[in-house]
Amino acid sequence: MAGVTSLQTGVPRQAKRPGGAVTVVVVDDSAVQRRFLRAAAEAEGDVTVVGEARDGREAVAMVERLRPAVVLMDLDLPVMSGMAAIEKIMAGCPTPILVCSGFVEGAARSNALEALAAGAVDVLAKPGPEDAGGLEAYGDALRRRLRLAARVRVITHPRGRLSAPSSRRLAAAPGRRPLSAPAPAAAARTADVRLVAVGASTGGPQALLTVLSALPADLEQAVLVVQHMAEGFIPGLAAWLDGLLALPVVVGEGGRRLVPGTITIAPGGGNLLVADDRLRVVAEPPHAGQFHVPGIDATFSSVAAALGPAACGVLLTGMGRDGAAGLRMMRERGAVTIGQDEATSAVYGMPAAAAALDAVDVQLPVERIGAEVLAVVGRGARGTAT
Amino acid sequence: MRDDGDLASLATRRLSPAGLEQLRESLRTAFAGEVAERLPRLTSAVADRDPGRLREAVRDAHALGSSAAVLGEPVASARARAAERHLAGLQDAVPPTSEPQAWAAASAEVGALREALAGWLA
Repeated sequence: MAGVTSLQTGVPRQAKRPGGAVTVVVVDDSAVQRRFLRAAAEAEGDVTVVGEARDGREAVAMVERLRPAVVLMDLDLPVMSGMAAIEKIMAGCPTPILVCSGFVEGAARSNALEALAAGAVDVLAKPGPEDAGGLEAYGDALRRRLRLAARVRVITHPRGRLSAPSSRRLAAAPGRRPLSAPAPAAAARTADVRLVAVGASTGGPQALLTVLSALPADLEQAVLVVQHMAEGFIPGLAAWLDGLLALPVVVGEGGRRLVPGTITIAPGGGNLLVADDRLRVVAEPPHAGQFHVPGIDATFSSVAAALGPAACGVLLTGMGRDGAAGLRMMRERGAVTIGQDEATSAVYGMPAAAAALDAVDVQLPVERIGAEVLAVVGRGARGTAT
Repeated sequence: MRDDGDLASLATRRLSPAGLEQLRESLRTAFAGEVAERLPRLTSAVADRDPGRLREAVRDAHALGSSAAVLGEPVASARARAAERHLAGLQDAVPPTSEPQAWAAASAEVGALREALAGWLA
């Protein structure tokens, strides 16, 4: 196979073919996997594989040349690893990347989180022995994830953006104060804040790392994080953050209390609600028809009811609108609320929905949100969006 | 045991019977090529007890396991995964182990994989 540098079939620089099919570049060093993934992806006609790459370096060049709507990326690749290729693609030619790897489950879950932190939008495990009789279901899941990924508006990798001026002022609703200015009422109540509630979805792990890195080890408030994520990945997310942050990070459990100076991640499989002003939390199963689990709206509205102005709400990057209504409730009850801005959001969905609902006191680039949270809890001067 | 029925259901929504057979044949050919390339390399790395080749050996075992699953070879896939786990354990050992029993066990796992893939070796 030496000398075969690419297997692309054409359609240069088009995210979609004229017929509307989602264009995909498949990156895998296994010919079997490439052919299988192509067949599975194209089975219903609305996804077209426009290129195949066998290593990370080839993938970076091919994405630059073909500009696909989505990259389907293995992680364990020769020449250049999948992780390095993700970082290069997200820095130079931001494209939604769906990781498809065998090294994202069990003890290798941290790879999935690292890939998400590097800019990938989703992770799917490769078929294993347990899938040998269920490849049709696997193909359905693959196509669903590819279609979803194609809708994600991605940005340049955050590490390459930190120096870029990306904050912006939100238009204030008629009759309301400008969103970029701290609310007078908020300034008066900052010393009373006992809980910081944070919601995130697509692009969340990297945003969480950026925001939570600003919080010092002696923080007196409890921090509750709700990150949309499949159930089995939450402990890995907690362990990953715990290894990188000054504050300890744990997975929440119903019946316990949130601990000041500790970051609690809502567990998967249901919602985690704050039950009272002593920060006791309860777990509940997802509501009928609830699409995102754990749910941010469920947690935020419980925080609004239990703590009112003694909380700070932060809604970060993510697809959809989960968290917007809950953040609005928090703001109506007197909490200071912060939204991530469009320029630094991997997907400006949830923060945009919150802004549209007038649920946001201030909208900021992700790298400024941690300092703003500290100011809200009385550990510094509050800034303004520029 | 080879079972392409599932693969058929995956692709029939778009492929004609001839196209499906072409896909099957293409996957079989690709898998035979992977087996021919990766299995001897994997076997050799374990036989030579070379820690420097473990990373590649793990990747080979992993690729064979994933591809065998796609080809409807659950036994080969499971044995490849077992070999991969064992080799990954050797790879993670600090300092690198020269413990004969550990390498002999890895060799046995790779031997079981060779047996499961015997039908794919020309």
